[in-house]
Amino acid sequence: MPRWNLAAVEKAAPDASSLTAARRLAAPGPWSDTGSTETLVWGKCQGSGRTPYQVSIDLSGPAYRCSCPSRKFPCKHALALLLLWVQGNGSVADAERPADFAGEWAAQRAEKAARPDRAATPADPEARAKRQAERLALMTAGMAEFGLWLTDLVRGGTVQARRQPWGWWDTAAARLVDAQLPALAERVRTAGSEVNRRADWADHLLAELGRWWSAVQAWQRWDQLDDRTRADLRAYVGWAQATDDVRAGETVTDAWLVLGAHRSDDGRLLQQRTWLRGETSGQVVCLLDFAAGGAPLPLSHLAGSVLEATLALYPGSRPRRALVVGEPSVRSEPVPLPEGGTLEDGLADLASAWVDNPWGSRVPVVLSDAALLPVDGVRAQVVDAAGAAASLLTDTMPWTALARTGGRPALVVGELERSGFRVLSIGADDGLVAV
Amino acid sequence: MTTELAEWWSQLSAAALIGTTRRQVPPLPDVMGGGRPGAAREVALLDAAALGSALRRAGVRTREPEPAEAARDDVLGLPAPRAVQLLELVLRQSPVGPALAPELVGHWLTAAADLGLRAPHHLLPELLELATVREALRPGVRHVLDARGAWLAAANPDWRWAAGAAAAETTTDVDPAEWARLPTDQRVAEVVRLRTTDAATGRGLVESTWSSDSAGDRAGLLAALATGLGPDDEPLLERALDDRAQRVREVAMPLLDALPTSARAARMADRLRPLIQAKGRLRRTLEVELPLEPDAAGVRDGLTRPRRVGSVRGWWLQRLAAGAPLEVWTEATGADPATTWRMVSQQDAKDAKVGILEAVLARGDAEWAAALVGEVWHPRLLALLPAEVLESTATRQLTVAATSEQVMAVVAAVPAPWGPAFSRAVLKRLAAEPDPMVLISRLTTQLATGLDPATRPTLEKWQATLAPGAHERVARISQYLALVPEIPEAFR
Repeated sequence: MPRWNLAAVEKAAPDASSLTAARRLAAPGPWSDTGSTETLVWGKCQGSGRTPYQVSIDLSGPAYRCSCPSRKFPCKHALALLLLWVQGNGSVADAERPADFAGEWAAQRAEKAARPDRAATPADPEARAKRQAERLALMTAGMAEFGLWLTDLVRGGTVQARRQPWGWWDTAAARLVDAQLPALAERVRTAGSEVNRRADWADHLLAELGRWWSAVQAWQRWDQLDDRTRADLRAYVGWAQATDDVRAGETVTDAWLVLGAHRSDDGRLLQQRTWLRGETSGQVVCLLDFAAGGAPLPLSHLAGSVLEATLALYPGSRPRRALVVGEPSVRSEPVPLPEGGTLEDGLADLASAWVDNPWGSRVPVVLSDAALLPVDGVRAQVVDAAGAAASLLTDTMPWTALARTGGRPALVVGELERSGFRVLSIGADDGLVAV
Repeated sequence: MTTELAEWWSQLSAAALIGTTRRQVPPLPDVMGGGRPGAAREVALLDAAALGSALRRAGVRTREPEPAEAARDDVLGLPAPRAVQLLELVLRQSPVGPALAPELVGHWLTAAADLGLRAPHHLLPELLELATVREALRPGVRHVLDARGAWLAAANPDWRWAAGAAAAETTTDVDPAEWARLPTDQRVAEVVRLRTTDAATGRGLVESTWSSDSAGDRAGLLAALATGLGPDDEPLLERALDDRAQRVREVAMPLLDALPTSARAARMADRLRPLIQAKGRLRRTLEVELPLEPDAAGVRDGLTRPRRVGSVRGWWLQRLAAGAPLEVWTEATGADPATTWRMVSQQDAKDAKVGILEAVLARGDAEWAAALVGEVWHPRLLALLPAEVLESTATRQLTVAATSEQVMAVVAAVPAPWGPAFSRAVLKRLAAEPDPMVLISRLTTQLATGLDPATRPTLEKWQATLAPGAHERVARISQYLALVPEIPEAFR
């Protein structure tokens, strides 16, 4: 198993305050009965109570358990223990056998993983079909109304739309939310703020109107759409697939290399995309996690690690969204770096993804021998082995990637979108490193 | 995108801007088919936007790289892995807390610079970030940047301070004409910066615009001379005494109070001398008289009507004492400052004492400060003492300090690192506090950098007796003391 580093522990933290709290605890003082094996780290932490908290961490998940009452996950004790462990100064010594409390927990987990999933209670198919039909009717009405709103907008012109107060956009978005089209609503809200923020707002808004309109038009032909396009449209408007349905659908078992992850926070919603590539299938899939209202995101898998896991694939076009079925195990031997290509390959892939799914946004790309170069103090570009360039998206300036590579060619993993490239991880001597 | 398509898209954009009520929608290019026959304008526009946006997206191409250079090769070596780990630890999960972490980073930077080593690449962003906030770390960070760090810093406007790592930051080349065009607060800041290294150039800037500046600007710029003040500033200050604006004159006076060799100090001495006289056979008593109404020259030198309530003549005495050389007093008594101060104290000469204290503080007079420190409480007096008596005096002061503020002032006045005796005294004083939390938290940095490492056992014993919050802070200080010697070790 690749040894964790500090950055990995930091990424595992649900929020900054947990990490701060954990740092305070990451000293030998409060800890006793600590130890670690290949897959487990454990220890007891003296808190304010009489009995110390028992902390166990299964590194293969990773999974955490702590007897403290915190609802944060992982809690500060688990994080502190990991921090202490990654220091590697002997505070958490290697042990032959886990302590009893940790060993028992690991055994329970193994047992649970071996058991088949809880039998899905067969829902009443008739009631379910009725609910589905009701929702579809509601959405269809919402889509039709949205179509009218769009025609009104272009009749008056986008200059006039830009002069509208924020509430005008928000009202349109709220109607979409009422019609159970939340993702479309979010796009309308975003466009409402982008028109005042972007220099190229007119171009951007027109393109966005075009995509919305194509969704409205496609919706009218719902009955004629194939399953894949229906799924793409569902994802675009925010009609979630039930995870049980996904689990019951197509699954792929493979060894999945974690290419990299991106976290974003728009103030309301935390989102995490993790890209995985199957060793045998070569298929690239995306794990999506969301958290709202101050809830933490589940921790990301370490870039460069390999999960042996069965993934259930969401219906829809490439790149497919997936979820992990059961508990993945992390492969212990080191992994060679993935093969990379050029930006031209990436753009071809992006274009072919758009042929399948006009509402898609991005594809993951692995570039071999690509240089990351700052341009004029605020922007940066990626230049591939063929000498072609793309701008880096400015939402995240990859300082660590720049510092590590110094503008020299390296393997670079990222996401390619219409307006540029986003660095997620880079190849280093010891495998992929998240940046 | 071809020119034909680009042309079409821009026509479409124009129609979208104005709205279909007032604009025709351009027909779809042939390659895109005919479109829906008979569609309303707004539908035709939205259809076109849908097709066009898909086409444009699919047409994204790579571009020629913009000119950009990779970093040059580093010339310095990389520290030992243990040292790299230690820096990572201090930067990312400091065991000594956020307040003390930069201090430890400072030690690391010094150790690296001493050995001529650079920072590891992956920690450069964090070091640059930290030193952007903590300016004291910048020289140290510059030393370990090497080619990679300088290259990285050049890419971030926030890190510009580090970009030309080799270039000295203290450039004294300032174009007076350019400086004159800056807003006043920036002009003042520039003068203050210059005064630390090149006082004459700084003063020259102030003089260069003196005759055209407004009263407010003159006052602000003149006040900037407090940094790096010296006898050479006297002519300008003397000139400012004749300024038509009262606020400018009021800035000049305290600055002249700090220059005991000035002509104005001599004039104040001439006025003060006749007022004080040692009496008695052994000249043990000092009589101090209050001055009479000053003449015009006296008013010019600062003997104006006071703004405070109270004795006007007392105020003038205070101004004289603050402005005249302190030797006037010792010459009158024929004794040393300590004896002289006691003689003044026996008199009901409160105003004279206040003035003398002002003079001592303004001039940083170590001998007088030593005489006064046991007699008068003032937070700045202690720092004026010569190093060899500072710690012993501060130790005595700690035992008499009545309030937390006083303890804080005493501790803050002694530069780190402290000797064993003062270290023990500080710990003893803190241990005697019923609620030491406030003192501990406000003095964390001073304690960590000041305390003699040999006092760690005492510190830890005390720590065990503390409530959780204070306990934690003291634990960090103790951790800091343990880590400091480890840093150079880690480089081996």
